[in-house]
Amino acid sequence: MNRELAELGRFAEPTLYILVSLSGGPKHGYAIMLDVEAISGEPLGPGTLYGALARMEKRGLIEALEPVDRRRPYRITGLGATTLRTQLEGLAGFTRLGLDRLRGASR
Amino acid sequence: MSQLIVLYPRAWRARYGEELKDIAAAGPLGIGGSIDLVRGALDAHRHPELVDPSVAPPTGLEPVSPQRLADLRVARRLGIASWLGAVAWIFAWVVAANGPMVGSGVDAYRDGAAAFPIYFAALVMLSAGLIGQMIRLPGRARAARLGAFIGIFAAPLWGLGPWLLVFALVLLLALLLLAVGAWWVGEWSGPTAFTVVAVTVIGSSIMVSVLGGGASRPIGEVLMVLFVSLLTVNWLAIGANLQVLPSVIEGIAGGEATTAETAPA
Repeated sequence: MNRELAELGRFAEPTLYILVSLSGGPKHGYAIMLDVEAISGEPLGPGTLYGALARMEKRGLIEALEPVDRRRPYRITGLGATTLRTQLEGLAGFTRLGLDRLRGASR
Repeated sequence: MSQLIVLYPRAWRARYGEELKDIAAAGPLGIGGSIDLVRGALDAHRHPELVDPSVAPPTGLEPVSPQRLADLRVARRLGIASWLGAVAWIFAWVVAANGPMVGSGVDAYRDGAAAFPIYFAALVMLSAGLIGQMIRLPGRARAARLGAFIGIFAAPLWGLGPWLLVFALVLLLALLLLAVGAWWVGEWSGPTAFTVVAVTVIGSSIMVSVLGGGASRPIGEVLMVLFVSLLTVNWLAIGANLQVLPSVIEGIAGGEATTAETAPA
């Protein structure tokens, strides 16, 4: 996990899921909750969601857009996209390495 | 679930409160979601720096009318009366503890009759502070208003004589209801409510132990000093809460003014 996310402690994993969710386009809080649950298979509580959103906003990973009714959409920023790409590429390399070793061990 | 949002700091509620209410309106979250929300509120108190005050609206208060502002100024004066009551409360016990000795031998006792008018005045001034709370607390703070209402009557009744302990008990229970109720709706800060609850519970325990005769004379005297000191905090806390007044930060439009909560002018 890269340093940007590692510093978020228990919010690191929800942050990664939220970045993935927002990479598909801006979403408001409730839509993010539903999307993250669909991606991860685990429900994301509102306290964790807004704890993560506040940290992400503070670090410039996302930005809030003008509210529509009571719903305020959030959008991933350039820094957020770069952070997500770096993280996913790291995970992809890690995944390849693990799978290669598993194949080697099974021969 | 929306009631749990009051656990968040004011600035946090101003920034994210509407969004959290929107999620609450979308459907029940269950026990897990509620626990997560409480955990989130604790985290928000630990990290207030996460919410930029310049992004948040200036206040979580609703707009108030000029009449409401005038009422809050009256409540503020009643809060000062509560502070004066704290002084009278301590003074009364000092006078009582230094009264003349009457009788002799084992029947000797200290006559504290001179303290009665001061003692009564102290509790009337606490009652004044509670009237201030009734003025200040919004209608939705039903439990807190009920506590203040009961206390308004119980305080002067206990003031008629310190031995009228049934009124003392009612007053202390009313103060607990006021503190917890006002905190629950976000009108009192957590530390203020916790302080009032703590001193009231500890003070009541001391009162019961002293009256139960479980303590020897010197220890009983120390406990009485502790009891008087602890309960003084209630006069001070009730008065202090009333000193925070809204101040108009934008022009009055349509009879209403947008306000922000500030320190007393």
